[in-house]
Amino acid sequence: MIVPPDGLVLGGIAPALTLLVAAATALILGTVRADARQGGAVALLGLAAAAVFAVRNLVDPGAHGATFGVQWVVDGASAGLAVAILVGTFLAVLLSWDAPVARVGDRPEFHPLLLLAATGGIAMVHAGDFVVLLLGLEILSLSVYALSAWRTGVREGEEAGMKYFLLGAFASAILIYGVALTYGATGAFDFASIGAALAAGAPGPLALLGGAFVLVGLGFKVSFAPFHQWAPDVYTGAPTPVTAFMSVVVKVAAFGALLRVASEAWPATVPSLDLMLAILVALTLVVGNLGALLQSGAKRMLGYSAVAHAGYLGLAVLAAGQGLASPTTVVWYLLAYTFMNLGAFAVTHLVMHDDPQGDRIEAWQGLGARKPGLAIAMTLFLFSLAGFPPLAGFFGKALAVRAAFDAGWSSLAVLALLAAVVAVVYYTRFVFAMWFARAPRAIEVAPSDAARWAVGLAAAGTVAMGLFPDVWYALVEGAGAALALVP
Amino acid sequence: MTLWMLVLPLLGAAAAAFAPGRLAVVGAVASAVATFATSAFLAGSGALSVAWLPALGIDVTLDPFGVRSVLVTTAALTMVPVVLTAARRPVDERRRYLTALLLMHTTLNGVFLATDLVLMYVFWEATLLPSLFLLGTFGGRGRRGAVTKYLVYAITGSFLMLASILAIVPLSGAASYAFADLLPAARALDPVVQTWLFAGFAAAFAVKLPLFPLHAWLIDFHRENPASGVADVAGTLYKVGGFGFFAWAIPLLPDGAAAFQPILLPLAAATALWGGLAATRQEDLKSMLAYMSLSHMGVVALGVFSLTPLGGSGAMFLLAAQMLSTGALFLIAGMLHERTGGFDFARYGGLAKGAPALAAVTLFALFAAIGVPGLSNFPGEFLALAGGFAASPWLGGVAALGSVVAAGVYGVNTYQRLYQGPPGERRADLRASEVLVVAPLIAGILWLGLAPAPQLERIDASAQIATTAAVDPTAVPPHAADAAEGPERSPASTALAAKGGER
Amino acid sequence: MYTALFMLFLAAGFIGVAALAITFVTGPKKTPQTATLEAYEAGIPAAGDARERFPIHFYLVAMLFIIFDLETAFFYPLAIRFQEAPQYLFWNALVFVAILGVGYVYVLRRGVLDWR
Repeated sequence: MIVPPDGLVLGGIAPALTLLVAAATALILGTVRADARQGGAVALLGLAAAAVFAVRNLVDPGAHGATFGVQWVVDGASAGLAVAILVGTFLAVLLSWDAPVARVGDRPEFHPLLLLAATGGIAMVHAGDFVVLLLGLEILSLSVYALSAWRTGVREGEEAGMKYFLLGAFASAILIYGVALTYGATGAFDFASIGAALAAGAPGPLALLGGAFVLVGLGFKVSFAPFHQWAPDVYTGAPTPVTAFMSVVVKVAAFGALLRVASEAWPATVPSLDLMLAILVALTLVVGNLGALLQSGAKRMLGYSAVAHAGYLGLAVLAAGQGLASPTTVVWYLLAYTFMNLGAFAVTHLVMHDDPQGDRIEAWQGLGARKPGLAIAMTLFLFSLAGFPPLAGFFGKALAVRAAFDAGWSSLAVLALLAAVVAVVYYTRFVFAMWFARAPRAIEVAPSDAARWAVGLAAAGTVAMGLFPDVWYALVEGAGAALALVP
Repeated sequence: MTLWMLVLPLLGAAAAAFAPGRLAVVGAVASAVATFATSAFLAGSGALSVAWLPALGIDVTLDPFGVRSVLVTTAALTMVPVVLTAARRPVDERRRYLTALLLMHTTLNGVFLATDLVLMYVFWEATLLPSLFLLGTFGGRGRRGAVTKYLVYAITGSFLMLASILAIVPLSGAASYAFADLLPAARALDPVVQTWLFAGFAAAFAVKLPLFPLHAWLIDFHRENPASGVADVAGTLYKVGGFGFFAWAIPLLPDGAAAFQPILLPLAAATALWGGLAATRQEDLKSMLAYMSLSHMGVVALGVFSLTPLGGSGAMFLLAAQMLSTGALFLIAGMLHERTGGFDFARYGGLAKGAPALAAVTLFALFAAIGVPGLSNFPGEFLALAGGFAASPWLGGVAALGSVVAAGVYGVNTYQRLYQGPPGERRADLRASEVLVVAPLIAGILWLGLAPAPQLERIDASAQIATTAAVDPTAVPPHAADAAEGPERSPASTALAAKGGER
Repeated sequence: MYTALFMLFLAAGFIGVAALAITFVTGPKKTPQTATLEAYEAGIPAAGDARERFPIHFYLVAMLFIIFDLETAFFYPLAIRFQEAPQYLFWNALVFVAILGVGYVYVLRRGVLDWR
């Protein structure tokens, strides 16, 4: 048994605890007075406070131990990803400020669930062993299952919730099976010991099967092909603010976990696990980009685009996992992705009014003439997702591809860039519709100043990260030097 | 001084986008003029270097050395009449036009000045967006198709180039993406690796040159662009593929360039010939100009791929010169469209009687474009062809057929069909505002045509770096800035002086 | 190490098979009466199918029971090792109870336990 320090050392765990307190507060207050603004305000305050702790972890990572005897890693990657999760949740709360989902009078659980999901995500990215990882994953997943089914009485909404829950539970089970097999092969739950045990000798079939199952389980969460089928359906069926939230926060958390597992639990001496990951990445790049080409609605297109971006992120994880590229690449990309993808969903939310049948490209025609501000923001987000410089997405893609070249996966890198050509076509279809087509009707956007703030902040983030990429990179890279397991 | 080349047009774009009323136009025009005025002092000014993403060796480095300053100055001169023409658009279009143009100018200057490979790529891609916007917003009926075609061609090329750019540092072990760091490291690469990397660069540069058979986007681009010719000139300025080969791909990867020369040189000759022949058969002015421009690009490519200092210098000079001559012709085409409402030659004929000044200006620009000695295109075209002859007499001959013989045919034909023959409806002559538009271009054409030597000397400094390695891979070139002042006359200008005497 | 376990399985299997076999051999053989086939030979006859919809309240209450049951299960080992790190374990337990308490208050206020 780990002998715990006598007393409480909150340190690195503080961001998660702060969110937990905020979630509890919002939950109890919500039973006293059902008011969405109150829940939202508590959530924003809690997120801001948690961000303070997360940034402190980032600036000064070594100094903060953890408590409760858990394997809680505080380094550049985990603290940076925690910041990305907090930013994503903050913007999602702003986006849902006036949205009907948050206003359903009898259900004050919306904001507490968002906060709990973020808590789970933060636990996942800080996890130093499979136990914390699984706990975080379940906290995150159960909250998001409930959120994705938030639109009751709408067929698409119920389909989304059911699909996500069943497939997600199945994936969790496979992940747990993989963890059990890995434990059977190595006798350890924490990544460092597993890595040492696997590196010690040629790993047997048990360890490889365990690794493969872990990869499948996490691959579902990050929507690697062929485990991506749920993503477009769930993204379409869930209320748009929830889609915006889950498309970034779930992705950040799951990629954080995958990065940690790939770099610490799978030593470079076991090439078969990297090969499996490489095959998944190649499939994801092709399937995601080609799938997005066939979509006519913004939400479905962004759903497949999320799959495609999982491919680029997977490329960076693959290189970083082999120790041949910096994990900062993954962290940088994920914050950039948080800004641009959440921004794109935010504009979609304002344009579509959460109308389940409104997800068509026609809804975007003439937006440039009618609402130039929103159209410029959406153009920025889509161009950034497509990888046009000098926006955040360009450096994201460039860093990922550069990492692949660094690690010697040249053919994957070239495939990634060729797939990006396809991506340009499907993103610009929407840009063309906004600017080069006449509006068939007057465009009414949802009246919400808070959501406009979310769009504006996301746009500012997308542009600033593209113009000044080194600010975030240096911060994360500087903290990464102190990478250490804290018992 | 160097940074101002980006700041001034950017300020102009901001003014055009946000300043109220007429102030927007004044700001835009003032920034275009100021950019040109500043660019005149660019040649001697220093380099600029700021860290951007130092962890990966990506910096903001700008250096107006050699050919870079020549191209920036000429492009800035061409932008003045373009902005003036755009300022005459209706009020509701003017703002968007001017903003897009000046943004394009900013990024174009970036392409020319950047000496960091990744920064060059950033500007390269960013330049695409304003010209797409102009075509998509103000273009003709087939604009959606033209935009998509343009985009797919350009993006496929540039993403392949991005692959080469990102790979070149890990493969060569260079310290950073700066040209000075890359040069020794990349040249030491294995020839096979160099060939692969060169293929990536060639994909982007050949599309933007454009090189036959990748030129399909160019014709649609010009056909669908708005009638005023403004966007066409912007597109002409953006045909920087030859510059990319000359300033980046060939010096960094000489073995790759040598491996590709047997493919690229015939394609260049084919481009020159095909463009020239097709230009003689066109039934409307704008298509004729598009093919003429394609033919010029074939000659540029021929000079660049000859891998000789002579051909390279000539090609870059022609690239600068055709900005002025082709630019002038596209703007004149816009003026003619204003008078007759169409581009097909059938509408025209006998205009010289009513509009003698317009006819004279057109003839002057056409003469410049077909390479009449004493005007801007001649020195470049001559040297590029000379380089081509040196590399392969046969292909040089083919290209000359397209660019000199066919040029005579389409040049004279065009003038005849526009201005001579039975006088038709009487059209207005050159207006005062239009004189203001064509005057800078005519001055520029004369300037480059009558005194090419100073520009050629600056270009030669770059050409030496571009081609020494192709001849002798062990020769490490002198630092760029040191080579700027050469005491003796450069080989290109000497050769030109000799040839000029013969004529 | 696993021999004892194996023996246990063997013994269990033997007893099961033996009990059935002995009754089969020695027991009287006659046609069973209808009452013998009922689920409960003595008592109220079963009516209807057990597979029907139950009020969701049953499940909620059952889940709440499990949660508080686990709380007790968690506190026993804590009590045994309490002296090893008294302060740490005290705060640990307090936080755990506080989290459960929040859930309990929430459940109460949302009316889960109001039997309507």
